[in-house]
Amino acid sequence: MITTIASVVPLQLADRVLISLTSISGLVLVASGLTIIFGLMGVLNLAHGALMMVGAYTAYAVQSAGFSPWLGIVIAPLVVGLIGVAMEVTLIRRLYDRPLDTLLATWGIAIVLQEAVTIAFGTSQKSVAPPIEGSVSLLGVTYPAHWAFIIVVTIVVMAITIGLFAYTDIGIMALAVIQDREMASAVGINTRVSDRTTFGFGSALAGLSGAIMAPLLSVNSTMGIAWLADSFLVVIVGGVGTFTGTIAGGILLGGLDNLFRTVISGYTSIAQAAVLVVALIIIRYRPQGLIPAGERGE
Amino acid sequence: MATADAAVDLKTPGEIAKLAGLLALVALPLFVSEYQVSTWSTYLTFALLALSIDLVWGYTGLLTLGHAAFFGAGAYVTAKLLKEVPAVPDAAVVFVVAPAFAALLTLGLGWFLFSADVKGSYFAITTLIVSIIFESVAGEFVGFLGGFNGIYGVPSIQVVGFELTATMSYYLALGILVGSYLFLRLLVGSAFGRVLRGIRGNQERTEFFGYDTQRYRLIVFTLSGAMAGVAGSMYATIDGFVSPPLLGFVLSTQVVIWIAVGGRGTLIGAVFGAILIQYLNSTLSDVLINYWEMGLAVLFIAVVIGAPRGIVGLLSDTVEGVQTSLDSANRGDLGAGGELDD
Repeated sequence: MITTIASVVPLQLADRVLISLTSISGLVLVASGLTIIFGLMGVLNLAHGALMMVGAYTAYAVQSAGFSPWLGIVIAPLVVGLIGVAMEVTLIRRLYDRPLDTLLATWGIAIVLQEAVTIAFGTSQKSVAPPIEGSVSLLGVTYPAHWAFIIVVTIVVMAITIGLFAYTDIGIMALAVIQDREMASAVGINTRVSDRTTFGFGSALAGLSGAIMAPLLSVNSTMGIAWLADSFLVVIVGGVGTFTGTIAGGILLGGLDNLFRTVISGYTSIAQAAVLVVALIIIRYRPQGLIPAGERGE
Repeated sequence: MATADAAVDLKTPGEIAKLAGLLALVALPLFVSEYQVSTWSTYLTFALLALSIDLVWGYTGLLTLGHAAFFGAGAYVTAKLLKEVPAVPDAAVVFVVAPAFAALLTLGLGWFLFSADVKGSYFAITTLIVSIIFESVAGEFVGFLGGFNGIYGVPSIQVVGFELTATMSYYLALGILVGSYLFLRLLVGSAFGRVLRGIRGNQERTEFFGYDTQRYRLIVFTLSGAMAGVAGSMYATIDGFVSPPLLGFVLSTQVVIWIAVGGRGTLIGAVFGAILIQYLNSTLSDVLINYWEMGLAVLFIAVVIGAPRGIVGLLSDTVEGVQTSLDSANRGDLGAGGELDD
């Protein structure tokens, strides 16, 4: 999933562990927005990968305009969050009761975003500089500081998101709308605003993940496709509708990916395909995922 | 409105339009170069792929985002056999081995998914992943399947030592397409087809009526796989080149877009959408570059939201509307009231 990392570093155990931690964090971070949009809201958003890609391009655009990489990380979620709100207002809102049509329409949006980015930036690969240069020493291994940054950001983002939906009024109201729209509306929640904010927040997370991951990836307009499939698998395998499920899914799939890469070294695509096969088998035999939702209400 | 699907009724405008379209396709090789004939032949093979997807998606409600995997499987098995095992007759490869191979794959996958009642969005996502798996595996087998470069120089079909020309391949592809269309039309008009639509409308209710929907879904998915296999096989003999993107999910989703724009669940919409969009693609993408893809995506979104039956649906609604108003005008004022009682 993160090819660049695997090829750079010699394969010792401590290295392997850190590489796995980084790629698991990356997976969880990219999937976090989808956990909200697909997992909680039930919207089959095939534009998720494209939103992440736009986040990466926003980071690139900010940097190439001469600003600090930090600014890109701040602006990307705003830009992509706004795109998400626009999507919700124009299209998604009409399709809440038509899941397969949502899937098709969001795929259309993904193509529009992809082509728009190609028109604006051309087809060449872009590279994005990390906000933190240099390296840190962990477990006796010298380790790029940006990798550690990804792990930290993922932990912080997941903690904030879980806290938001568990303890704040906005989050609890959003969950109420998702669980019972009519009842939520009856107790005075503006369900439309709530849907819009929730969708926008999930999109913003996709944009943030794109900006954070961009330095590790070759940034191009089709980069989102692989991450789209991975994100859906992480959310489904982990258990739709729970944040802990997404973390579990990320650990399982990211861990397996690294394991298979080590075992079947030299055949990256076969290793990736093997992970997908495991994911298919899990979806077939355990469709509720590793950590199913539903144990929420006692 | 029970329209007689199976009977060919030459009086309706829809049937006249279909015949005119067929005649245009028959006459096409007279007006274009041999190179273009080959290009049009590939359009026809993709139209056959679109038909096979429409049967599963449009009629049975199972959105498959991975059908290119079976198209590509048919193409790859044909490429290997035609190039390396000349003992097997070409016709047997195209009409027996390729569809059987693809049907086996769909049978296995269908059993795997339907026995756990995987449907709806999960079916779409799992088929999409199968397509990604096929593409990446084919890309990795450099020695056996040519890796990312694919397999070049697949010969065109030979019948008793005589090689088909581009034009003959075109008519063969057209014949297969028209034959498949007519066969599917009979199928969806039959009792079997009604069960398929029942599954699309409400699978549970269809089960309560005593139908084994798992078996129906398996049959229809396998049949559709076999058709995709023939389509891929024909493609390999016409284009002479197979590569991993033929198996991939980009092609799978493209065909779904063609069907949606043409009109899902109408059969003719799949064929019409596939041919029209591929033709426009080849003529407009040079001029409009990325704006063409973007415009198509916007059209696709609009169709999904506002016109689920696509262009064909819009056209037939218009024609019906005109006919109804003509009918009621002919019958005078009583017309509109009389129809309600039927």
